Parts: sequence; C-alpha cells; structure tokens
Amino acid sequence: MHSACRLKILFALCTCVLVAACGGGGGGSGSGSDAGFTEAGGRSSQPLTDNSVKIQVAGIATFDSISNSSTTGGLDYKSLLQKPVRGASIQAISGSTVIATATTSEQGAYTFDVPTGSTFFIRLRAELVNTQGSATWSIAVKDNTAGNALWAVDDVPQSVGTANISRSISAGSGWSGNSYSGARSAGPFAILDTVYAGLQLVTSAQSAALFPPLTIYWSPNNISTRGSLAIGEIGTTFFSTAPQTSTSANGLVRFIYVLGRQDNDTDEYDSAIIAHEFGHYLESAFGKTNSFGGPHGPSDKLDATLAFSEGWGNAWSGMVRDSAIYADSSGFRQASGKVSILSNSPTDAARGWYREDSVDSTLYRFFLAQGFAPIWSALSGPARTSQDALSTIFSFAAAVRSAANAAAISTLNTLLAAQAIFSGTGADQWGTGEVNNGGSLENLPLYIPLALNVSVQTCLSKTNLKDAFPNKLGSIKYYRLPLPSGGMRTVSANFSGGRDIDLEVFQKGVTRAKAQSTSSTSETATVNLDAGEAVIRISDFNLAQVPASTPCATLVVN
Amino acid sequence: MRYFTSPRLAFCAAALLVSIGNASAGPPATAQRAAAAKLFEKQYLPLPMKKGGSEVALAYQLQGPPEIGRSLTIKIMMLSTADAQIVVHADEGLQLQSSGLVMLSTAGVAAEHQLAVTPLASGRFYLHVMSTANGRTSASAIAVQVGADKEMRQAKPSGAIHTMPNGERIISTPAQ
Repeated sequence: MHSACRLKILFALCTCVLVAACGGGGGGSGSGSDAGFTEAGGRSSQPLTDNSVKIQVAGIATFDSISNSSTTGGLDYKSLLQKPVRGASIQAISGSTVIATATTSEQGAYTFDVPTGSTFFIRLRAELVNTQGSATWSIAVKDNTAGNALWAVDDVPQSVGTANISRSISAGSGWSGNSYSGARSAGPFAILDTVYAGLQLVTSAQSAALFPPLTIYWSPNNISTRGSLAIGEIGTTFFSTAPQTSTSANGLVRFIYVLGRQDNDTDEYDSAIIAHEFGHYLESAFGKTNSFGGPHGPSDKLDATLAFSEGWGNAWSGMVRDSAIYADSSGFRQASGKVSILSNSPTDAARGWYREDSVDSTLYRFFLAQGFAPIWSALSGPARTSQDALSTIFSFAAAVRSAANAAAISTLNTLLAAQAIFSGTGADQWGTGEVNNGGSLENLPLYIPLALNVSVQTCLSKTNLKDAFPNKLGSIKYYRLPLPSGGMRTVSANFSGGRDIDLEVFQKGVTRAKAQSTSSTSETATVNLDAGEAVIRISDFNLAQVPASTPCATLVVN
Repeated sequence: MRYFTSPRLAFCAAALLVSIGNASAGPPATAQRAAAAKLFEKQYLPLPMKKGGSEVALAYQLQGPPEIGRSLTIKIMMLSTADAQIVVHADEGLQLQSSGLVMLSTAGVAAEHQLAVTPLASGRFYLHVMSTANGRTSASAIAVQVGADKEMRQAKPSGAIHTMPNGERIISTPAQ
C-alpha cells in the first residue's frame, strides 16, 4: 500500500533529480512551475523552434486515489492521496500533432524529448499499452456516453527554451468536500491502477502473457438502471464479450462497463469491483469460461459454472489487491455500501460446489497458502483448457492435481473438503464422487450420462430460483456424451411442462452449437462433433414462469 | 458484477428480473412465488440488483406519462429475505412529494408503496433508490422521461471532446 508520505518523498526526490538535470534552467518545482520557461523577472522567453535540437521533459504523473471504509464500504475521502499513474501512455502534443510519446514508469515517472523552442501540452492518456516486451497488452478506458472517446488529462500549453525541464501532471478527483463539482479526471486512472496490478500479477506467473485487447467504459453518467448504454444506463458494473466486428479478425471483443454516477453508485474507486471484473476478463482471455451468467449472491445455490466464475472473480480480486476486504461503495456522497471478507469461509450446512462464497474462499485461501503460480497454471494452462468438462470448481481442482506439486494439491484438497466439496480418491473434472447434492438428489451427478441414440428424460428444478433467471442449482442440466467417432450429430430436446427450452453443445469447453429459439418447447441442433466427449447444457429461458414445479426435458443425440 | 454470456440473458435481466424470497426465511416459497407472479401480472419493471448487496428485490411501475407540472404516481414493490428499507432521492428536474422518502418492508413479505413526483422540466431524470438490508446498501435508479424522445437529455459531457488527425476521439479533462 502506498502512503501519502511515501509518495511525497518520492515526488520530492524525483523533482530534485530533474532539477539537477535541468542544466541551470532554474526553479523547476513540479506541476505548474516549470524550469526553463520564464526568464528572471517573469518575462516570457521567445524561443525559436529547432527540430534538430531537443530538450528533455521529465515529470511524474499522479492521480487522486480514494479508499473504501473497511467497515461500511463507503468511500473515505479523508483517505485521498496521490498515487503514481503506472504504465500509462503520455504524449507531448503541439497543436494537434503528437511530437513525443512515453510510458510512465512504476513510479509514474516519464521523460521524452521535444524540439527546443517548441510549444506543446502534455496529455496523459487513460490507456495501458505494451507492444514491446515479451508480454503485451492494450487496455483503454473510454467514455461510453461521449462517443466512446478515450479519457485523457491535458496540461496547459507551454513553450520551452533550450534547457531541459521538469513538468509533472496530476489527475484530480474533482471532489469538493460535498460532491464531485470538478472534472473527475482521476477516475479512469484509478481503474487502470487496479488493472495494472493485475497485469503485474499475471506476468509474475507468465512472463510472456499476451493479453487480448480490453476496453473499459466508464462515465460519470453511468447509472444503475438499464436502458441505453450510450446515455449511461448500464444497470451495473459488468464484464462481457461480443464477436469481433471485423471480418478479418477472430475471437472476441472484451469489455467492462463501470458505474460512475455520484450519489447513486460509483465503482471507479472500488478496486475490489474493478478487480473482480478484470478477473472475468482473465478467465475469458486465458482460461475458459462457461458461466451461464445472470444475477447471483454469495449464499445463493448457483449453477456450477456460474459459481466458479463468480467465485474466481472474487478470489482474484483479493489476490491482486493483497486484501481479503471486498468493499463496494454506493449511495449519497458514496458514503454507504457493503463489505465482505474473502477469507471468511462459509460454515453453514449449505456450503458446497454450487456456492460462489465456497469457491472464492477456497481459492483465496489457496492463494494465501501456495501463492499465485499454481492457481494461474491451473486456470490458464493446458491441464484445464484441454479438459472435456466445463469450467467448474471440479475442473479447476483437477487441473491443479495434474499440474501442481504435492504440497499444493494437499492444501487444495483440504480446503475443498472444508467446503464439503469432494476431493478424495477418484475426484476429477466431472465431479465424480461428489455426494453433496445441495439438498436434492436430482442435483447429482453434475453430468448426466448420455449415450448415442438413447433418449434420457431429466427434470429442471425451480427450488433455488430467487428471480427470473434460470441460473441456479438444479435449474440447468448437463449431459456427458462419449463419442467413439467424429461426424455430424443431431441433438434434439423436447420439453414436457416447460416453456422455452434452450440447448448448447460443447467440446472441450468451447461452444460448438446452440439452439435457442424463442418460446419453443423443442430444439434441435445439427453439429459436426469430434471423437471424444461432448457436453450438452439444457435450460428453460422462462423457467421462473413455468407453472409446473419440475418441467422435464427429453434429450437424444443421433 | 454480472457476467452476461449472451444478449438474451442481458435482456432477460432487464425485462424479467423480479425476485422471490429465499425459502429459508419468511413465508413459504409458494407464497413468495405467488407474490412474484403478481408482480409479473402487474407488469412491474425490475430494478438491477448488485451482487452481494442488500439483495432487496425492487420493481416499479409509472402510473401514467410524466408531464411537466403534473404529479405522477410511481408504485414500488420491494421484497427481501430480511427486514429492509429504501430511501428515495430525486434528480433536479423532479420534485418528490417528500425528499428522502423512506419505505419499509418486513422479511419475506412483498410490500407495495407509492410515491408522487412532479417533473419540473423536459428531459430524462432519475429517482435514486437506496435499499438497505442486513447492514448492506445498494443503489438503483428509476428513469423518468419527460417529453418526447428527441428531448431526451443527452448525457452531460464530462470533458472536452477532441478528434485527432488520425480520427481518434479524446475526452479531455484538465490537469489538476
């Protein structure tokens, strides 16, 4: 953790170094007071531009950082301190021409050369870009309510002479004591600070990690109601993906939307929330995720794919911030909110593989005991990405068992057992051996055995629904289908008592086919499948409105 | 906080989210489902619920078109597995009948409240709804559109928009 004192010392030291490098240009003292600009007596110099001769501009980029109260979760504005902007792009711009670029260091320091006699301003860009090292990334913060413009902080224009200068730049919070009355320049850089920590932690375990592009949309207009994203009605902070729009590009576009409306809900300073969403990005970019998505709470009995994805996001948030405190501010003056403690494992009888708090406390405690390397190896390595099963706590544990050392495996097995998650002999990616059924015999096995040309009837349960989303334990069914040979297959599902059946076919966690027509009680997908194993997921989009307590699906693959 | 895997799921959240209580608290689940079904019948619109928050399910219904100077009734349904309260504040442009309005519900019982608000200008304004239960507070907002869509208030720019020679759009804020 940074302290104001440490940063001030750092700032003072750097300024001294810069002054020493100014060649006697005089009096540089940080932002707004620039060595070499003004002649003795305050008269402006009239430098002549010489593109062949350069001077060095050096400074520190900082942003106003605000922490959460560890008791209420609300923002504690008394905690405000300036932190360095790490890894961000910074430019010198003359007119509309970029004349120099640099990247801020771990301490927020930057240097670049500009022509003597030039007039320019410094622009601090809300982006982390690294295309040179063994690891690469490109992450930007844009305003979805301003035509997706990139956030930036601009200093005032300045003219330089022939001496090196110091010139620092700072992004302010805009907080006036009662409200955000000024420009909220620091918000995008607070977000990036959390992301930067994530990049560092990942590259500590995978030095050549290639991060796919990520765009983070934040605006002071982003509010917790659902409507048009372009006016900020984003509902909540979330990660999502979309297909690439370019015909030449493969893969996905990944993005995060972040709340920012004051006196309602702002998340730019809620580092736990930003880290959680970045965790979803990592899971999508490096591992595999099959999360069904939708609303969820810590103690809800969830679909296994959702429980793992959200539990991972929470646990990652604690790992990257090195803190078990998970705080989220909201309300008038951002003074309210909530706090949870990641290391507090649930102890009630309902804990298990279907609970995100069981998953997050297990993963976070595993991190505390064994560090990040075995977690990242299991999450992103071939031991997991090549698995036939979908992404659940079982597949994660199986990947650890196949890739980690004995001590790590033993630690994880102990933590799993404490959460009533099977980790004994025979435990595997499929949840084999699990006896914790979450209160209903129908919830096990997690993957129902299926054979070609043999129909199987299974019923979906509404028992654990808390809302209209059919994403809870028992409301989604998974089937495991061995395939002795590759070829075209027809997957058919019919509902009795259901309203809108949906099916999805996976191989190695990758969606191979979907059939999700609206308000249909039957679905068919024809798909070319490889020899090996396939997984089929069945759900009812309108399960909450189905009159019958247990709509039943009949599934057959030919 | 929510991870939407498909636009369809996102739509589902927006269009259908109405919560029913946990069977472990309050009245039997069947009664809570009946309450939820009632919400569906009345076509209440759900408000987002943030993960790990108050977990108070909220839905609302505007009782008519918002018009400048005319009192508008808004019904709010709340349901929580614990005793809960909501506090409502309004944007400038909306006048609440009483500022900082507080509404309560008891554990497991759907409570219907109503409030009156008077639009003071054309545009898009919000009622800010803070729900608290189990010592946790969550925020949500009800949008009130006053006037035709073309009069929808554009999101207030938070900085100066520049287009660079390469076409890149920048939203520029001043250095501190």
